[in-house]
Amino acid sequence: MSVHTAAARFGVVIVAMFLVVSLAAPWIAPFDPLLQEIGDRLQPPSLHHWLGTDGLGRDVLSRLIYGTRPTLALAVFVAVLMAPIGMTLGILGGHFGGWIDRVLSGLTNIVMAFPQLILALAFVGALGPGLPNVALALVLTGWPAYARLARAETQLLRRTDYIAAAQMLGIVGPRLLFGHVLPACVPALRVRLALDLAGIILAAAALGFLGLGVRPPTPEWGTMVAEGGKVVFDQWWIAAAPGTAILLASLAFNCLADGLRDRTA
Amino acid sequence: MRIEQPELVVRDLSVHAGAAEGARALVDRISLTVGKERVALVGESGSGKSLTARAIMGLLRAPLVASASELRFGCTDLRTLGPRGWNALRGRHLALVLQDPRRALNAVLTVGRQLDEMVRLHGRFPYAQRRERIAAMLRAVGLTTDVLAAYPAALSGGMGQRVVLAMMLVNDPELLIADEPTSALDEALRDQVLELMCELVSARGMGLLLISHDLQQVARYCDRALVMFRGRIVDECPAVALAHSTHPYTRTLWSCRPSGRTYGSDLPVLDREWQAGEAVR
Amino acid sequence: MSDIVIESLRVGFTGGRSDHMVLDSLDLVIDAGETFGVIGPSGCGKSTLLRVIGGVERRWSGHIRLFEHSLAPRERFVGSLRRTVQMVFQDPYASLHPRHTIERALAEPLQVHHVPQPVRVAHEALEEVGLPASLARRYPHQLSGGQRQRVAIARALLLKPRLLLLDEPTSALDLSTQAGVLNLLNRLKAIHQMTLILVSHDRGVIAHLCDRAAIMAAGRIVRLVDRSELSED
Repeated sequence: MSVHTAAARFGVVIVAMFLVVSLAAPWIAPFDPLLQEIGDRLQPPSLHHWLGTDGLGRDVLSRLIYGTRPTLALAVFVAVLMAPIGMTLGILGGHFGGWIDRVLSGLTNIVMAFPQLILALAFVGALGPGLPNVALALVLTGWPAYARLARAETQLLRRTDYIAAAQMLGIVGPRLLFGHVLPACVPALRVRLALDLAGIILAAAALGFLGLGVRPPTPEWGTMVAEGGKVVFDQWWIAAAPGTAILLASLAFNCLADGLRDRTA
Repeated sequence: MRIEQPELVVRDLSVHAGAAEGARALVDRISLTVGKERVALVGESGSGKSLTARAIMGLLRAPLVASASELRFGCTDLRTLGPRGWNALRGRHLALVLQDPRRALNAVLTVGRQLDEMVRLHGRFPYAQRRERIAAMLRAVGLTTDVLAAYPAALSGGMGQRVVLAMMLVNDPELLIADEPTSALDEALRDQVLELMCELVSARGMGLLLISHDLQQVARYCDRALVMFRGRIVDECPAVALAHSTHPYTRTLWSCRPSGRTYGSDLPVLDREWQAGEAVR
Repeated sequence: MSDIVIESLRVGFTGGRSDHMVLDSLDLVIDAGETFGVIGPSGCGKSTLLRVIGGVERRWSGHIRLFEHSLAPRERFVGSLRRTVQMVFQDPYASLHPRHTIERALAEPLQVHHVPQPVRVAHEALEEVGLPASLARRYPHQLSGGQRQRVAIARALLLKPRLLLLDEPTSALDLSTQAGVLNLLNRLKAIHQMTLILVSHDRGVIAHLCDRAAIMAAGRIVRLVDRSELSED
């Protein structure tokens, strides 16, 4: 992947760093993230605990490191489901037109009319907290944007010579849709996805903050911010560390998306 | 005020794809002069002819880089000209006509506005004098003042190119550079517009540098021709001698045009060996 | 018995105050083995005519017979009819899928039609149009305009069509590249015994390749031109 701007390079580096950290967590983290030492609670950053300890005496740095896992896992899970589902529906509607398109467009518009976070809240409220449910909620509320994009791209592509040429050669049906139309849609959707990932991280953190994310005591940045919020004026590091991590991750994905968009353009 | 000896002198002009050491030469050390005559730069796409025109006019964009041992117009050294110098030169002494007239005209301004702007940019004239000048220019290109109120989108291809010509010549420049001015026009119009261009150039004592891929067109309308291939000038001759050139590339370009006479026979193509030889050199 | 017969062909958009007819009651008769040209300014409907004959544009009315097949409007071309007619498009870059290798562009139609050893046949097709088989691994953007157009021709010939439609096949090419492609077309049409319908705005190209031609304007055929008149161009 060619990265022209400093911003895009920054994005790639940070995302790669998070990936490495999440994979190597057991070896990098200085402490067990679940280990509680009540005697050592609410300690400020020191040489022993680089980012201090939280209300239950757990090492903030270790929890931060392990916290990359649910965040990235969620991002990947959502991306892997949301884009393909949306794209498939969009391509089907854009290609066939007629009543298929009307039904799918109607469905897209209805889901799109709801604010995503509120709808996700409702889903998680109904299904119960936990990572898979959060992911599912975000997928079910996030696919319409991709359907719309894919539908527009497909309709544009109908006019291109290479699709007409493929049809003339007898290439029709799923082979045409997934072998020819889909690959041509991918560049536009790739940029959208990278941008969305930033938003997904924020959405997941928000849900975690509200207590609807990963079950405690598993470390997750949103939940950590919530816990730290209670003591933010005296022990600021407990909320500041995960907050900065969320900021950094979101920023990195945004920069990555910018780089991808410039490259696609 | 006209320039004393309006000669364009180009020596060893090169355009590279970047500023780095081994950057590819898209134009490789070409030299030419244009006085009060009609000179053509002929070649196919990729030959570097359009880049040459842009380099001469100072219109190259990064990362393209031009260099020359001499590049002057009259006594002005074009290599060291800053933005102000170029503004004074372009449109007043040096004019450029491009391929697609629709691109050269501002779509949201009327023709009259744009012509007026051209005159005002390069001199202070009272309104009446400007109007007279513009009307005279329109007459010279075969248009009436009705066109002043029109927007560029309403003009046909031929009319659009005449308007661009009027705009470019209204300030009496000494040199006109035309980059494929008729390629975007229907065949019927091409000769008309070129004839008009050549008429105007002779009548006003101007020089013309015509960039084209059409050898037959060049033979009809120009005095001298320079044939470019892959960034180099490979052949140079008077335009009337083009039909009988002994250079392999020129000969092929001249005779590879399909027509009723070539029916059923193979058209001449570029000799592969010659091509490879040229590239290596 | 003429082999390609078109009667009262109409293609248009009706609606609102005015009907805009792209093709207006067009009649045409072409013999097998002929190279037939269609000349006209942009917007005269010549490309639409090709697209109707090729089955790409299916909203038309009238009567069309291609060899032994009688066409019905809105009907998709399948089976032997689909293989009978193929097309070479104008813009060589736009007619090859930018994300498919040349090998895939040539092998896929063969696979779909159950031709054995598609990759080998694809490589042979490349050689037939004067391109080295090593080009198969490349992507369209790595090829020159002339090379892409040769690939497009190779692709059109894969299914051994009896009718080849060419929509301004050399307009986007340089003069010298055009010469090479025209030579190739001349050679291939003799080898494969095809009927050609060639659309161009360039009278020189039409005069060089075609036996007969039709001049079109505003959706109609204005007049037919025979060989003797063409040779004056």
